[in-house]
Amino acid sequence: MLFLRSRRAVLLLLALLGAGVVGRIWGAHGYRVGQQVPTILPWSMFLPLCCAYAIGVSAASPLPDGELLGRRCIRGYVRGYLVVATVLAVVAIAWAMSRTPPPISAPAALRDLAGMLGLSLVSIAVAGASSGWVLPGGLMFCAIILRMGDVDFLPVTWLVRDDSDTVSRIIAAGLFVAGGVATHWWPRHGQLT
Amino acid sequence: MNAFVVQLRRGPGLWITPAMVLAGAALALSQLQALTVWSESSSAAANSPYVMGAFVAGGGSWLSVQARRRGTLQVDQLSARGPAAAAAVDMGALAVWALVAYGLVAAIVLVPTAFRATWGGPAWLWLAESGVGLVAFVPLGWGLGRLAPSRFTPFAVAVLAFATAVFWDSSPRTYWWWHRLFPALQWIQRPFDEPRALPLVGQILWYLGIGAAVLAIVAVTGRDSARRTRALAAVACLLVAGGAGIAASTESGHVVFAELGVHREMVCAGDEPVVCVHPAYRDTLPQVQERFTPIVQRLAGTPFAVHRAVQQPREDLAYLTPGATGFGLDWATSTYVDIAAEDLVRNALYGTAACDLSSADLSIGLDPYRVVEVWAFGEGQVLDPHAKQALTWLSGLDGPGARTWLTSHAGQIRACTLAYSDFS
Repeated sequence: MLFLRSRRAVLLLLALLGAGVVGRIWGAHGYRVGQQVPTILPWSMFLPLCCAYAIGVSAASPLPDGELLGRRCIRGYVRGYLVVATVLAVVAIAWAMSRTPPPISAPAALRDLAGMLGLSLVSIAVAGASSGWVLPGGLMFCAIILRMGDVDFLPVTWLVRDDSDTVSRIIAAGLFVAGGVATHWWPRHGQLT
Repeated sequence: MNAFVVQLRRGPGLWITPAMVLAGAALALSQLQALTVWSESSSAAANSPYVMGAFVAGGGSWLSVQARRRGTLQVDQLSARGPAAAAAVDMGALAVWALVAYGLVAAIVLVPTAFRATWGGPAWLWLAESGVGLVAFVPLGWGLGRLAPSRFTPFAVAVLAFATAVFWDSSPRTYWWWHRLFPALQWIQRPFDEPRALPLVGQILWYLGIGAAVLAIVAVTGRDSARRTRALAAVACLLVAGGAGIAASTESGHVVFAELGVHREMVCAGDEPVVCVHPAYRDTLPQVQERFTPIVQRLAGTPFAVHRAVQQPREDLAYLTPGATGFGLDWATSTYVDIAAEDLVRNALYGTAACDLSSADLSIGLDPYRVVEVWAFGEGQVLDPHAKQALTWLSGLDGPGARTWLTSHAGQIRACTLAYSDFS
């Protein structure tokens, strides 16, 4: 219970619930990107990024030095917490985007959630919770602006590809695994909070 | 000065700058098809704060969040220079890094253009306005971070800044004056147009006013009653009101931030037809001539003959100069030369007639009058059986036969009332 309180689990739960409701209401609305091949990108494509970073920030220790020096190793608790939070986020996003029409809908959002969560965990492990947003956030912003300019640069634009794109799924899965590995170094001594 | 240098080294600006440069350069270069026209390169560089602003807002938010979370606010309150001094140093250092990043992005775009452009020069005032707009994200992010000091806030502020820019940019009222008070928007300027100085100056004052207002609020809430605080508050009010006022007063409601169709001097070449383009597109002229020649030959000797093809701004294509056929050329690349050829064909055939040209897919339900367009353009396949049959028939005619048919059906083509039964 103390662990859940230290991670502000209730706030995270409310945030995921809020993301689900907002996505459910606004999921079908979008904005037009691209000149030569115009696509409607749903506003709810920001939800996977927000949920993923919220999970990462919530799981990161507010007192890394204290937990590092503690008698009990809490790495297992952190991983369990991440698994439960991820399952809840998957449910929230799948529900939120169930009414969003293809080509960019729930499967793409879940793929992005996996990739963004992995990237967020790596980024937080390196730069800390309040500074780690630059990498996942920057990747999402760049993906959207490149899509606006009809540029398809796979390492970036996999985030805004269609539901059925296999290469994007592989990239997202790779990032997800990398994020899981990165939690091995949580909490890290001297980690910025 | 020491505190400023320390903050330059230890603040978030140093590690955000590479991300800002990468994102800004990605946006600028993705908007450009060629680094040959000054107005287009200036547009791309000036649009880069559209994405860079999100990083700056997040960084500004990080600054104030850290101060609140580390419990160091009392240090600001005890400062001999006033409670706003620390905030000013924090924000100033981040603003310097933001301007460094913006300068690098501008250099990436403008330096190659300087070697390749054939006409005009950079829009310095517009570039400056965008730079000040980028800096305006610092106090905005800083203020939001002070209001909600959480580890999640910098991320949330960055996403909010970017999503707001996208939302603001994609809303239909893009050209209303209050729309331009948001610090980062996208705008492509063509070489025919000239940015207007007064609205840009108004925007710069507005952005400076935002920064001064945030500092004044910090000073006032810190119970600093010194004369400098009152002066700062007065300056902030003047800048905000003056900037918004100038931007609003330039025209009532529907502001145009550029004079359209100012530069119309042309560079011409060829004999039949004479092809004229804006001097900024001078290097494209041989390519345009080459692409237009077969089209002109097909239409020669008919009521649709092209004697003089003149590049015109897209919004002015309906207002053709007497005896000339207009075409739009958006970028100096081969893809856009093809699009220019399509424009030429349409203007030659339909003139100002209000035909429905919205169907980009020539394979489904093609209107009969558009078969002539495909034939004149000389490329493109049609899959619609009726259209295919009509196109085959028209292509099978020899030169004099095609000219006679076009002449006899000119009225129907112009009025967009041609039927498939006419292709016989």
